[in-house]
Amino acid sequence: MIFSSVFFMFVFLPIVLLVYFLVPKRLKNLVIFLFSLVFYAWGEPVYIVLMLFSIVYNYVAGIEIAYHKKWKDERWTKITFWMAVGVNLGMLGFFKYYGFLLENLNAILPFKIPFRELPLPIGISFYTFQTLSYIIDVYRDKVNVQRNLISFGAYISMFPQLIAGPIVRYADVEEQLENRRISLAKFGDGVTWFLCGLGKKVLLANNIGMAYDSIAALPAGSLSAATAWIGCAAYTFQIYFDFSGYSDMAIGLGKMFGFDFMRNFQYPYTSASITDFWRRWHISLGSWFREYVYIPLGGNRVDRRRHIRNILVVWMLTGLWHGAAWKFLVWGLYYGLLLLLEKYLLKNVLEHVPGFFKHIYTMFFVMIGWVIFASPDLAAGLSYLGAMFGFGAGLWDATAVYYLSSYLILFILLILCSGPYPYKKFCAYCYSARKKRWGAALVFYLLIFVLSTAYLVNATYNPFLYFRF
Amino acid sequence: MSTVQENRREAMRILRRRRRALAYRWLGIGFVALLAVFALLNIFGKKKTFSEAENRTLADFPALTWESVVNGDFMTKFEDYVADQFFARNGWIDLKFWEDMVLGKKESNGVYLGKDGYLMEVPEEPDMENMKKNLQSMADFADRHADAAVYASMIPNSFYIMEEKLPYGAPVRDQAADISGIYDALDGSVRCIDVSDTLRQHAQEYIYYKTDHHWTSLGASYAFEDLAEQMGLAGDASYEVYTVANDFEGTLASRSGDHRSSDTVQIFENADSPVDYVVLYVEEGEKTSSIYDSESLENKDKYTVFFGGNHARVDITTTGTQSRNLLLFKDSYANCMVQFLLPYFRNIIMVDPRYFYDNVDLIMETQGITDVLFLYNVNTFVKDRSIADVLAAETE
Repeated sequence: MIFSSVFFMFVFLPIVLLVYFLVPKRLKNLVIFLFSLVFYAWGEPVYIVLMLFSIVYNYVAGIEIAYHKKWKDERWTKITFWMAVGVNLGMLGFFKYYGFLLENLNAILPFKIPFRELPLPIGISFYTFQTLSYIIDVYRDKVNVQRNLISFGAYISMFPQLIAGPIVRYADVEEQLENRRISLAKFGDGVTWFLCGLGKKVLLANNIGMAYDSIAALPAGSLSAATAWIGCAAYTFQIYFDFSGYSDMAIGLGKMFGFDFMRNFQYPYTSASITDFWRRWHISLGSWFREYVYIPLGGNRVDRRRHIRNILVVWMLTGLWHGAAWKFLVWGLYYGLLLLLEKYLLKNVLEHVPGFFKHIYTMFFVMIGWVIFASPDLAAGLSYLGAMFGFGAGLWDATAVYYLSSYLILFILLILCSGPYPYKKFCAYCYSARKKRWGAALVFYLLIFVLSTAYLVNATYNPFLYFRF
Repeated sequence: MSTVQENRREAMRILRRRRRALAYRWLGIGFVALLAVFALLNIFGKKKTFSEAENRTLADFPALTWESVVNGDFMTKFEDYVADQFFARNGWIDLKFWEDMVLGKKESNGVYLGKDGYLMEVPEEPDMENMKKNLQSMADFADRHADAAVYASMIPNSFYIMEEKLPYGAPVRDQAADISGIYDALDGSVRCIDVSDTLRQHAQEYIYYKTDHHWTSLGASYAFEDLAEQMGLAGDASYEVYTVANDFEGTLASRSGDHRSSDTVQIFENADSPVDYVVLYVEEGEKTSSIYDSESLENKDKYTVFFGGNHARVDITTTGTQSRNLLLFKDSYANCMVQFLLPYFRNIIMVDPRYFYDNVDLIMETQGITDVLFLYNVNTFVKDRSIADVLAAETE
């Protein structure tokens, strides 16, 4: 089930809200847990077993680690900890990378190992990272062990962020699981997040996604440079508004239930460098890798050679996290190299370059990155890149005019909405102290709601890019 | 800064925050109220089984079984049900279309929104493998029946003939290349009749429907001139033209959601040599005395006035004295061509390979077929997966 569907909005959500606010406080986590299971089972009836196993296993493992710790049994603490890490990564590895691994092994081995590609359990990359954050933080004494299975289950399965993040670290919600403030104003705040996210996803991302899909479907050799760039820009906007819209909806739903999740995007397309970009894009993933991989490896407090190794390891993993394919590995390494380049070579140069060029530079590399990311495979990505630089069918053609004129209004909206300015203006206008204009905000949000609903009812096109991860 | 000013600023900030909180509270209430109202309207709204505007059957509530839950069928169908039975569905669809227009979109659901109200299908990539098989089987069939004259005519689609009605620069397939590729493959076995030039000469006229993917009877009448010439039928007939519908909204209107224009359906009757005939729908076992189905004019899809739509096999027996018998392999484009062919054949047997599973060699032998015509529109032909199977020689 995805949030941007009629079923979620007008069947599932009303029922959850009704039950959640009717039951007494001590039952609220149970309500979240049970409805989350229904939510997950709705799309993955069989894999629900996997998720339940993960919840129970990690619940027990956490308690066990805490138990050995209490008796200062370092050996067993370590064994249980590594065992838990192994089981979690093993599950993720088996369901996500097993097919890819064997496929490549078969390509180099003289004999063939038969295998059956398993469908990827939805959200496994997200909830595995959540369970790991819990296990690691229990081991490092950063959080207390959770002895309430319902609370723990509610944390792992929590439907707002279950299938597409943000990756909520246990440490961030430990307190909230037992004690959270629920109020009408906070609920309304959640509604603003949710509706903004809905609008980003349904009105902006889905619509510009059509431009990308139809350009990507054109025969590779017939793309002019202009058309290829328009397609690339379309995908660049689609993936941002799609994913950040979904994250916003998750954060909004969380707030409705009283949770505060970290924001996952901070206007990434206004970044002035690649380093800056990764501080603003999918923040919860970046900070997870920093906290649990980069820093434990020594971070940047090591000599240069090891630092380079650390960066490359982290970015290889980040790439692979997005999917079991060579293109994702290349995409991750591409960013690793860019970051090293910025850190060691371009640092002084960038400081002296006017802001405008820094933005151009950043977006250029980000867009090239998305081509690798979006293409079906590396070869297709390369030929698309070729078209962007004039090795397709010339520089300009009537097709480019068609796409530009069909999507011009949308492109303008997308560019505006990529920066903080419109929202700032909106707030200054609606929540002005001089004039009573908050009603305008109310009208605006409900308008987004109605306009988006029209698209949902006609849901012929409602992909969700981050589903595969 | 004086304290007075500072106090004033502080007061303003508190006021702003209060107003924001006020907006949030009312938004929370408004959102829940809308959700509740929508949910209730959906639950108690009247259920519909068919959507006229979309020209399709709407989803029904799925049966709940253990199996359908485990494989996820129940959930998918339940979601379809909720979306299909959403209250005021047509209103929402219109709103969405209006939003698309405001955004400046020029295509909707695989349909180009062209100039002057013309809707045109975005052509899909051909199914090369099946097309090759089909072409080979057509050539083999022609060689097998060398005593009959075998013709093929590929009718181009509106986006190619009426190119200037497309949105500027809209990417489409080069249908000229597709057609000549087909004719090249058939060359030597099948006599190909190219109607593109003729249709192009009349591109300014009403030869394709605006809201439907078919051609009009007028378009077919021009193409018939080419067919008549190549097949040696006496052409230059004069026709009695009857307008049978003025409010036709075709499949492209349904698909795109664009209901701004509508079409006129006309039928042509040969005034020089009117014929009497009997139409036998072989599978259905029904007999009528007209190729026009007036009941279809009450339906949404008024193009089905020709034969009431597609049938596996239709036999038309005329009372005339002509000696030639025609076997017509066809898609729906041919349905409105038959009215022009009628006077020139004693028997016309229409076979739609998509629904036909019998032996065509047998028809050739027993019905004294002298002429065979493959009449397809290019969009359908390049995607067809049934011709080769139907034409395959019976191996005993």
